[in-house]
Amino acid sequence: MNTARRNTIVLEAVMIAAATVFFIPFYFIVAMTFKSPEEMAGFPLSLPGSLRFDNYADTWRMMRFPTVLGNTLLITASAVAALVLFGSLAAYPLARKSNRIYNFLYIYFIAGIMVPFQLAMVPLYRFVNALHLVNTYHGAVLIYSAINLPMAIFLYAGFLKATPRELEEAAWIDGCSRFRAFWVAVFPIVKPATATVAVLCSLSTWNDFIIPLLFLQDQDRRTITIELYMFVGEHVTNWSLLFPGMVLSVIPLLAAYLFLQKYIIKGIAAGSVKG
Amino acid sequence: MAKWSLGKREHASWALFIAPAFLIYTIIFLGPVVTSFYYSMTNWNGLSKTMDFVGLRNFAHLASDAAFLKALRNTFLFTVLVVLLQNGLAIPLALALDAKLKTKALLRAVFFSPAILSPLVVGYTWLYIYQPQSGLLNSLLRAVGLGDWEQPWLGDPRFALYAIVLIVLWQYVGYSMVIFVANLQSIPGDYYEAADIDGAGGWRKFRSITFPLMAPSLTINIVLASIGSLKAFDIIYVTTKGGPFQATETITTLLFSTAFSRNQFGYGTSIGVVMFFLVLIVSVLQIFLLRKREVTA
Repeated sequence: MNTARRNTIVLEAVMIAAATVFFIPFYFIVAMTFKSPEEMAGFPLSLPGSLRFDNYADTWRMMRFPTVLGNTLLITASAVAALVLFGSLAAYPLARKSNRIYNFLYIYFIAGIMVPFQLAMVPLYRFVNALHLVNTYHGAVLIYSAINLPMAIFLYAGFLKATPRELEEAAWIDGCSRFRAFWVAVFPIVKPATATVAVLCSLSTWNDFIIPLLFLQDQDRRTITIELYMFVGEHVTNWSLLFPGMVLSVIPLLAAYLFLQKYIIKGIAAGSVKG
Repeated sequence: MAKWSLGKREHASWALFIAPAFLIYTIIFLGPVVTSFYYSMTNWNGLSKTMDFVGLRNFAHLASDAAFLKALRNTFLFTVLVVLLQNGLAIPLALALDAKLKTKALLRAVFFSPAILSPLVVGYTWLYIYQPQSGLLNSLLRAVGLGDWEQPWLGDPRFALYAIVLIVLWQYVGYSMVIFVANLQSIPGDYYEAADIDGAGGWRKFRSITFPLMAPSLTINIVLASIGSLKAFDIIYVTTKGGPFQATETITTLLFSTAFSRNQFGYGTSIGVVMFFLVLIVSVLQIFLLRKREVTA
């Protein structure tokens, strides 16, 4: 065996060991969900005695899991749909045209990336409250669309600048309206950017905490994150119910991640390196 | 290429493309941001109908507010630590996982996986790991005979901020790694072949080829980690709420409690304005300085 190959094997062993240590918190939360209160008091890394699903059943009921999962799905899907549609539409002329107005509008949108959302929080709360949009789905969807638009437009415009114009121009010559040409000749081409926007915005919306904390406190409107948070407050810290709640909240994401892993990682790399 | 006519009708049709995004973004995001500059100069309590314009008094007040100065210091310390450690760990990780390992796809997925979790879930998981009695960390220390090192990690002002830095590293080191790996894959192999011919060793190759060509991903990782740390809220809020004794109070947790728990909306917003300028200055400076030293393959 030559040195290079031996080095590779050593490196691989070291990395596998590091990854195992890194993975412990995952093992730990899942193991905890199956433990009885007596077992929870024992060594944290020990295996549970049996696979009891009692904790899950209790949590499922007490967290009203179907309701909060439905809310989270509805809000995330709507926000992503709005972002993909409005983001790609706006980015298209901004990427294709360049005169003072379009350049200004581009900067106007992109500037939002650097503005911390927290700065908008107080006046936004007052405004949304005045419109009676607190505790409504469309209120939350509007907020998520607004704060993610700068990133969406940035990604779409970046991608569009690197794509040729021939197809859409051919569509115009064939008599398509601007919008029809966009729909048949541009939107299909920007699919990779759409995937990146969808991935980044789904993750940030699904996992968000502060917006539901302020705007979706109503029992029937809560998202998974806020329900977990309220759950801790309302039932003191009942870990045997909180851990299954956390696992349940992660399962949909993890399932999506396992299926889309390649695209998620690629999307994030593409989205960031371009930035 | 067909000539683009710039008639009024054409502009009107492009305006329709931009309008929905423009309205949502302006009304829901930028409008409130601009308004908050005004609120930051009032004494509004969030409830009453009246508010007085107080000019820059809130900002003058901030300059001598011990809680704010402490939060500012914590935010800086937290940001510097996260930026240095996250990149310092992600670079070797990316180099290792760019090598020809059989399990590299799986390993990358493992290191990246915490990044898809919500900071809330990560926060609660580590809250339990750090528990004084039954927590995983202290149990492990006892198990390996280091029982003397046991600490109430998040409950001790000396350790709490560092304990949170560790949580952030666990969650996001894989995220930075993925960005570095993408960059490494774009470096042409000929460079290394040429270096081999010149007899360059591994360290020399890293210093003269890899590291300089990693500059674009280093820029973005530093900027992302800085902005992310300056804005960090969720993990701190669910683990310590800024305590104990303000040891983990940052500008975001202070902003939140000032505005929404103590109903000092005007004063809280002025903290937000300071934060805005911090993020702006830090990111513009970094982009400017780091871009200057970037080279392209």
